[in-house]
Amino acid sequence: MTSRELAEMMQKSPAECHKALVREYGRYVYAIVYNKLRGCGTKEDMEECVSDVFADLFMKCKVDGASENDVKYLISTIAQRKAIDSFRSLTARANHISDADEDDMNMLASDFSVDEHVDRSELRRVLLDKIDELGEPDSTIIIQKFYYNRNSREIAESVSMTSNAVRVRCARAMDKLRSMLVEVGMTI
Amino acid sequence: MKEKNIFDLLENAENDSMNRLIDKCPEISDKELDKILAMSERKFKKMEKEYNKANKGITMTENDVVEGVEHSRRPAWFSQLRIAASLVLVAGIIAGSTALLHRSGSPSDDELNITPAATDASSESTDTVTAVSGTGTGTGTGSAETSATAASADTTTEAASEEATGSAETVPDIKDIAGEWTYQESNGNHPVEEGARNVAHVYINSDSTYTYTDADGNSVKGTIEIRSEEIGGTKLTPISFSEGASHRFSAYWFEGVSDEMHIGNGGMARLIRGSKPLVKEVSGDMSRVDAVDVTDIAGEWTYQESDGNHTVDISAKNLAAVVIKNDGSYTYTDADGNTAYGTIKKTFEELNGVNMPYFDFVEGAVTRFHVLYVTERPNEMYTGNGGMARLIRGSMALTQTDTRNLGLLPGTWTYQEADGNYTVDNGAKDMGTVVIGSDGSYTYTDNNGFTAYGNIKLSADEIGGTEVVTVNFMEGSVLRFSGTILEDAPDEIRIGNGGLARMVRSY
Repeated sequence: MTSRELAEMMQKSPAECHKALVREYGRYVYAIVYNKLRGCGTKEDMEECVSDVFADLFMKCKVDGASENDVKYLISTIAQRKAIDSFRSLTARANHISDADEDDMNMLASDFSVDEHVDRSELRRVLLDKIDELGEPDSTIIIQKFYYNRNSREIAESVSMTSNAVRVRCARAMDKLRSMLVEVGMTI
Repeated sequence: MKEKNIFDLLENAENDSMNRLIDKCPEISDKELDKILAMSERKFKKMEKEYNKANKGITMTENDVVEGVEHSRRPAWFSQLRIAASLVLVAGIIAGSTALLHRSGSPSDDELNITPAATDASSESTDTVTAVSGTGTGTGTGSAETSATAASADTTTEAASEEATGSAETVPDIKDIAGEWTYQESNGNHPVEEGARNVAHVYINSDSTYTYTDADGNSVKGTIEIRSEEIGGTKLTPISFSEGASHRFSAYWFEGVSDEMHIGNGGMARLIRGSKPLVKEVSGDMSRVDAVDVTDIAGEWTYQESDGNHTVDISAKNLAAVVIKNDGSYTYTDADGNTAYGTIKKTFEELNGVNMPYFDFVEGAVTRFHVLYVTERPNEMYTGNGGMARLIRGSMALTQTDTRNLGLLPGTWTYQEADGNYTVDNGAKDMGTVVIGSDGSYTYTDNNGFTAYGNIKLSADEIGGTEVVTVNFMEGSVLRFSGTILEDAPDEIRIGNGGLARMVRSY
């Protein structure tokens, strides 16, 4: 959808336009927000952030003129910025509470070494490549299970299988992934 | 310590990795998307309101042309500076005039011709103004010149024009000013003519007394004295309002202006003829109060009170159904069917330093509830601060007097049916929500918005040697459906024995 098409829709009916935007890009925005807030936010925090993104987008549609640019890039930018804001606010809040126990403190004190830091970006690429090599539907099952933290029943709905079948495939795919990663020097 | 998950690596990914993760993101249900849409719309409306407020009258057309007028606000200290500068200027005029008169002494016959007082005053004012405009050739004293540097050009003009016309003023009779007046103050950093706040009503009686009544209804009485003053040759008519020996304020009356009297010379307060609605003094941020009106709470509500020693959110009894209309009227119907009618009034109170919106449910002169509305929790409004009573959105069965041991049943449950040829364990479809209250009532809402409500009856049965608890969902005396709970699965109510329907607890 271009922003000119969006502006035309806005003129006809803003409410319908808002609905269409959420339907079309809801999953896209959720995925971006989830990626940033996965480690620190609850489901409600993520919903809150996604709704912030759309509220901003609606405001942008109201104020800005039309252009031929794909609105997806605009949404992606707003989503990333909002998610980063939200991440900062959530982690700032969490920083007020210290839950480090003695074990954590020992780990922090002794094991940290700059030399052992590897390029996370490269590792991420390798991990995603190996997951893709598993093929469908295993790669989707693995990502939804371990990254999106969905249970077998929810994954079963999304890949049109029974939950038992999902569990079995997931266990096998995980074994396979584990051995593939060992080959490239990564361990799960 | 939390176990490290290698998939945490995928967090905070760059764009190409992000796109791969987006492809595999699970579908989001229509229900969740609707929820997000509703939240977004609410936030958008708030942002839109703020945006419109900030850009009042400004429109932006294509080709980046901006039309309209931007309202600028002068800083608060600017008015104070103007007042101070005016006072210094007036003092300078007086001092300058006195010095001149003193130096000239009594005019003798062989000096200049005697000029009438009015002419003398006007010539002095002209001289003073020359000094103010910065030529440095004026006859004013040092203080007058000092005032010239501080005073703004428009203040000078006002002073000059006042002097020019003031000499013609006549003293009003008390009957000219008798009647009802409204005391107004500027509501911002601009003169009172541009934006006024009605502070009090002042009723002037023809026996030279007055009554001053503020927005809170506090009333004081006092006396009025009409005086005549001459400042730097300018005759002014201040009307002094006093309470006993203490002076409250003075208003300046001008001939020909029968419905307005100025207070002070900074343009920040005045008396205006007539009785205008008063507003209470507001301090602090009112955005939360302004963002809400009675239409936000329109709909069906249930009035709940705590059922025992717990707060109302833990254990409640439903005492009455409250229906609020968009026009601000409401009905209150209790369990016995008695209905009361009233209107809702929006007020506000400061809560932890923030002005929060409250709604008063008023029946005649009696206020039934005074409830707090929090935008983030649009479905409940609490009365008082003990959490013992509230209004909760929705129509619920009003409480029966008996209480029963419901164990962990109260809460929200999802009603599911099998999706296809599998049992409900393997493929479930959410059909609706059942909310079980602690008083044994339940409300069932299906995906289409259909709502049914009734009460629960519990019974214990033995099936194949296993003790199970049966939950019967009644609508009046009719059994709608029943389910069983096993001891090892307290979060699941199985309906029927074919495994095709169940209720699971929602968290």
